[in-house]
Amino acid sequence: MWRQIGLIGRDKLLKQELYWRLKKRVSFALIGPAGVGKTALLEWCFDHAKEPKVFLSSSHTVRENLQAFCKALDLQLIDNKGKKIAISRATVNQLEQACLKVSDVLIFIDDFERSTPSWIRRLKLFAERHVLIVATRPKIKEDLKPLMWGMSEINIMPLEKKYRQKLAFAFCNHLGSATSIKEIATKSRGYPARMLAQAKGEASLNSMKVEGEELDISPLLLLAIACLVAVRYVAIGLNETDLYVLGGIGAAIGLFARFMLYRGMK
Amino acid sequence: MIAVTHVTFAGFLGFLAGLTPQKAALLGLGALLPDLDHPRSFLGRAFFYVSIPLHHFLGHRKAFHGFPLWIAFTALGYFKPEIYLVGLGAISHILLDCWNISGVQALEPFSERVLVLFSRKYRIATGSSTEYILLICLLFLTAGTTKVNAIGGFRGLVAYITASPKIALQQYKSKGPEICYLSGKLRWKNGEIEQISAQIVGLEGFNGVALRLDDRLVHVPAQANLLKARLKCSGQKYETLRLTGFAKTLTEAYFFDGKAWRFAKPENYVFGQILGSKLSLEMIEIDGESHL
Repeated sequence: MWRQIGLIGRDKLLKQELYWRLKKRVSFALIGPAGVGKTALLEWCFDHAKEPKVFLSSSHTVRENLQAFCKALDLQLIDNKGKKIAISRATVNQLEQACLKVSDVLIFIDDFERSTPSWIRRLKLFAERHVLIVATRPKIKEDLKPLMWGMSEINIMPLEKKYRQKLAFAFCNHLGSATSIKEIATKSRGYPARMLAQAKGEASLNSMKVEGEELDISPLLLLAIACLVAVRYVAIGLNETDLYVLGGIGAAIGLFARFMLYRGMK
Repeated sequence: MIAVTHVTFAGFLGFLAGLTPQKAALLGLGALLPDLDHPRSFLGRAFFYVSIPLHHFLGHRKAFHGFPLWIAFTALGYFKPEIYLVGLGAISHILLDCWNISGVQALEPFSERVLVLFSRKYRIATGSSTEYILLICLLFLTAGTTKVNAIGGFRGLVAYITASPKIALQQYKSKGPEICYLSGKLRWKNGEIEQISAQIVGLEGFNGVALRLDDRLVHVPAQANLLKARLKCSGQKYETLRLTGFAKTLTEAYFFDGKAWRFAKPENYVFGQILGSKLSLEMIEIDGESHL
């Protein structure tokens, strides 16, 4: 239910970016930080796509995914003696063979960044035969990058300010939450999953920091060290010995302190 | 960060830049201002009628902690320099707050990115024991920098520690006609080394200086070399005068004859560029013609 609520404020995205791609059966990727609403959008896409279509998740095992694929398309599995096998009893190999016999299926993959090497091998085969539509976080493994080639990347941004209040109201209404709607709307910074967690009273503000939201300004300190090094050469130009000595001492301290900075920046 | 840390940090930066205590206090005041958006902060409690609405409309560590606001405020310092210092203090507050675990949304209202300093593991929680260690370090550093300021900032400290004659003379050049003293070691041409404290008369030649030692002038490097020298300025200035002819001086005076400085006792004749503490000259007439 809250997957549908989570689509509040995404009308423009659905109309302008997603709907025509689904109609044309074009491969694309939804990219965004955790809790921004990728899965909700992907499920909406799945609901509005034409058959044949499958919804998989990279956080499941290969076997579970292949079974889901076969079940969704109602594939018949036959062993080498020509006998029918039940999907639940088939080996991974038999499942894979069956999956590769069909083509041009819309495959929706959630948690794409969590793909394991053995699943990536199957995904490569699928990418040649089917259309992949994936939801992923911005940082992905190198192995997955070739799969993303040619996919149009759609960045999902946090919700705009004007929709936050509406979404927070919808969540609180749905859950019967007593938390202040305004507080949820402002503290969530536009992340629907965070709003939901707050409305449920499950999360505090500090526990909900998401990677990519923070901007580390410590490289500015490296810039300051570079300026200290530059002071020495400026002093040569000005012919001022005391400034030269000071710049030299500063540069020495800075070049030593930079190792600590690197540590802090990791 | 707590209010004391912010004030100490701003004060430290002020003393580092060589500001007077009054100006550093303005920086400290500026460092308190951004926390007005929290009703339980130091200033927020005193001015609750400001802080409560601010917290309600803007929230804590958001637009009121933003670079756009405080940089614009600092730019107003173009009209009044005090505002400039207060604005810089506020910016130091924001930078230090970035070191907090929660960071600052300092680009509000343009962006919601949270500005932080270092990764989470190396950040400091407000009011934690780590912050008190930082505060103690800052207090020591501030006390140290006030001492350093008394001898002319870090550049003065370098000159004091190295006691380099080169630096002392470069400093003297920038002082103008101020009466300054050199203390240090002098090596005479015959090899003797003497500890001196002498008044500087003036510069001569390429890198030379004339010093008044007791009742005579010493020309460096013609008569002696400086091994170590520290400059001390009195704050008073020489009176200067340029003569086209000759005159008789009634007080002690120094004059530059084109190559080196000379010393003239009362009733002696002087010409050229004249220096002295209280100059008093008498016109002389040769064949009924004034030569002053």
